[in-house]
Amino acid sequence: MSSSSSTPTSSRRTRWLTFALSGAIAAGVGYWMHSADQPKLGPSFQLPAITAKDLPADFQAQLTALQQALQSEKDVISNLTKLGRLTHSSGLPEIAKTCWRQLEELETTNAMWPYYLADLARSRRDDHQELSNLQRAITLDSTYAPAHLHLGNLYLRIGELDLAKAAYRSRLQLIPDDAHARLGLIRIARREGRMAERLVLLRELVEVAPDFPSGHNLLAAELSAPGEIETARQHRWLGHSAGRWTNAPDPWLEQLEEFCFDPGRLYVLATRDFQLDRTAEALKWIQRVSKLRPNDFANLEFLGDLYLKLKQPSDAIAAMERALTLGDEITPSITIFINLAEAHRQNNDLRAALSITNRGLKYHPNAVELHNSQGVCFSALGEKARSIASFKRAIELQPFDADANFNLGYTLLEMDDEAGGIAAIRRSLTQQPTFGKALTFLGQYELSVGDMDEAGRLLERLYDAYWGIPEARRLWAEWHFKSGALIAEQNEKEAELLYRTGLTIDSDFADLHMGLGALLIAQNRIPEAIDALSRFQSLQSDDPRGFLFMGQAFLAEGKKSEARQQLQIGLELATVSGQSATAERCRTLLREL
Amino acid sequence: MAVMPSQPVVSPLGGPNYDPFPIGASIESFGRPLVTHVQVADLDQDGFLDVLYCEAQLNTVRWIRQAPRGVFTEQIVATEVAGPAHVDTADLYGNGRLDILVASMGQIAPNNSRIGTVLVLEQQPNGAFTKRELLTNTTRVSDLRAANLSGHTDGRLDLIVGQFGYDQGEVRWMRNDGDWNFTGQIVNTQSGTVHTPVADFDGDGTPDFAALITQEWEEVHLFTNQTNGQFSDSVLWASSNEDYGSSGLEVADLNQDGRPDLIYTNGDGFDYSVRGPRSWHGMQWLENLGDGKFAYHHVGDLAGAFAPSAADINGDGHLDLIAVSGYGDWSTPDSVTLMAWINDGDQNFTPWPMATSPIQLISAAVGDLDGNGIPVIVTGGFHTFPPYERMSSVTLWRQR
Repeated sequence: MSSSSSTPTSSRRTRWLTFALSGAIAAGVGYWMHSADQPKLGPSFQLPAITAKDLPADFQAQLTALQQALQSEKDVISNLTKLGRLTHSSGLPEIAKTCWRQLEELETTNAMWPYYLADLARSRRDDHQELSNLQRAITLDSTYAPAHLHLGNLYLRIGELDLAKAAYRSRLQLIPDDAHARLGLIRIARREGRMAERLVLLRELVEVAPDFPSGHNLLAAELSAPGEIETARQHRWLGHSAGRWTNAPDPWLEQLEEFCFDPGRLYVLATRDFQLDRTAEALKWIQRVSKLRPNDFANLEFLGDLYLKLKQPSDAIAAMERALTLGDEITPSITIFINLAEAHRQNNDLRAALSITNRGLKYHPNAVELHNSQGVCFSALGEKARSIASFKRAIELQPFDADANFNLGYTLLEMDDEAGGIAAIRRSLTQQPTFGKALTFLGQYELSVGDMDEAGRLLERLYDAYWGIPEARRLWAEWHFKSGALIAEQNEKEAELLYRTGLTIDSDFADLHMGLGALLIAQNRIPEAIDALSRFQSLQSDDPRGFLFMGQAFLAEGKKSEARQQLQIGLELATVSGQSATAERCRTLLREL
Repeated sequence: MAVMPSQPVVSPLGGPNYDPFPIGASIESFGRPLVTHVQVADLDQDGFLDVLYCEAQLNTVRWIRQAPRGVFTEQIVATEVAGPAHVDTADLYGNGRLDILVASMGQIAPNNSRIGTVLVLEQQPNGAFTKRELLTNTTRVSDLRAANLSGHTDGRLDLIVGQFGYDQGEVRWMRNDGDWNFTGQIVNTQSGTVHTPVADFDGDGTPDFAALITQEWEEVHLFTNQTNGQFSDSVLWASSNEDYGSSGLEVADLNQDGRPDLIYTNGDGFDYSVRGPRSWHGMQWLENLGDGKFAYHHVGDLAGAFAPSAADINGDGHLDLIAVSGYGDWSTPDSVTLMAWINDGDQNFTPWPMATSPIQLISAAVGDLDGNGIPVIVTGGFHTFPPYERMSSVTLWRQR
């Protein structure tokens, strides 16, 4: 160890000892290796002092061990790498930067080190440093595709569009179907006003990367022509269903995550993985936080929440009950009582759910959510009057709360209070205009009472919001069928349009084919009618109405034999199923034959 | 909105102290107030600045009228406005009356459905307001502003519409064709637009507009008016951090060089699990260097920062910056909820924490409401997440 290197940094050394590490560690001291066979730390190598306080004990232990290992001048590359990863991922960028720089000096051909330096520069919004480090990394290893993507994104950010294009194309040479580079080129096309090309590129993108949300989202917005409405809806839904946008895979950066000891960052990683349905990984990050902070209320609450979402109610209860034992100085949150009650409900322990809700109300007597939860418990226990009282209390506190209003409405309907129930369910749409349960229920209700305008308003909204959900499609198709049937006699053209539109929404909605077939027979458009009725029969092979109408169609064409065959089947099916009017109509037509 | 005092009160040691005064409807009347936006404007043009705000608990737009000086009386100017997110005023037809522009999201909580509305409350000669829905069933509308983008000579103003949406969103402008007919033109199809402030950024005499586009993009765009109904779209700044949390963008000529700059907060912590502060949250500004170039400058940190405003709060002739916090670490009693950064005149900023309560503020506006040249700050409380404590609705902050 050199006295010349240690002397000027004695104050830094003191800070290091004060803030972080055990006595043997000498921050700010230069290290180098004595062995001619081993890489040596350069004479200028100095680790910055750690100024962060309250570092987790495990993290400190690892830092200490690595410092000691470096001091012992063994495995310099390996230990520097570990230290760099540990500090890079845990919010100590200055130390990480020092490690990566030293490694860059020691391993001049390894692209990973300038790549990590580029990432640190990106984090501190230093475009210039990010650029130079990325360029160095690519010079050393032009086959690492993530570097080209970062370079493209950087050039795009700073407006160097031609350079961005070149970088994205370099990445596409390595990964031809890559969605992120394609997205970059699409964005450049828009910036350069090449709108037609942009559309072509977007269509290609959704083709090669159907799980990439941004492609669908942007394409949906571009498809505005009247004939493209359904396609736009489809891509809106696909974009939404594709879920959270995420960064492109980047193995070098992902390696760092394993070394993360920063609870805040771990929460972010857990959130990301949960939203990407990587639940095991999400749990892993949170369990690591639990190790770092075993008695942290918020973490236990979050852990319980995660278990609940993973449908592991017993684990959720264990985590949250532990949180509730942490001490009197903490006022437990509303959320923990809500989640605990839900976990008990998932375990079919309704009494426990009610008990924990009541316990929560002692802490938070004006919590809307807890009154609603109490109402749900009472309702499940069959105590309807008490559940109504709980829901009403929630609504007193928050008049348009969607859950409380829906639950109140549903319970009132169970108690045969139709007017009160419907009014409450309508109120649930005030703050959540696309509340699926409410739209579905009210749409069906309006269909049943024949208010087609109101049913249409509700069911179109349901369909637009839940395009990919079969129930939403079926109901919107049903509205088209019923609306068409209501006007078929007065306005055949409008009725046909409604039927055909309904079939674009749900081509398997059998009654639409039947209604269309019957309408076309009335207009003497027999071949088209037979097509529609054939489709109906394929969907409803035991429905006598299909055979009745098909018989009529053949009769209209003068095909008596085929007509008789259809009508006889229709008669048999109608007789068996008790459809006397259809049976009688078949008999009448058969007699006329 | 930048406010310069006419009677400087120099405070060389730092910033001034402000005290909160609740105005408008009580907290209890909302249960948990969800004030999504506050605005300062003299709506009735009686010489006293008023406060307009929209709130999403009861879905109303409200006017807290100041008349006479220092007396504030609230009235509801619109009900059944689904998820109102932003309110502004403009005389859309040059008739001398300020209309109210409302961005209606349909629902404030995340939702990708097309439930947004561009709403104008037209002020009638008798001071009443008539609802006019100019665009419905569209991606959620988060901002609505007015400017003469197309060179009208009869006082008409066009509209700039930010549409956050969720997975899909847009930025559009709507040409005012007269008689309440508007023709829309989409200029950007990225999701997540929060704010669309307007100014003549390129100094050519015609208004341009900027857009803060969040979600996976985290970018600040400039739409430069080509004066032929076209706007060129350029990115002024972008973050590579997908969790950057961009939350507010406004215009202020911070260095007073005659070129409008952009002031910008990031602090949105809406995400599942870790709703709350991040180490990178704070205030920044984008200096307009001319020729379409902007330089990024970090100003300071503030967990959960929202609602950037500029005002000379210490009376030294330089514009200071103000922001509020919507997502601080509320388990910590000293977590700052109202923050100023004092400008030394060379755009070096000293943080000046101003308040730790009430918490969960996501909107702020500044104006000379007292008519004494001293900036008054107005904030709005947005209590959609726990803890439901230290709540507020609309608060006036006056210098002590």
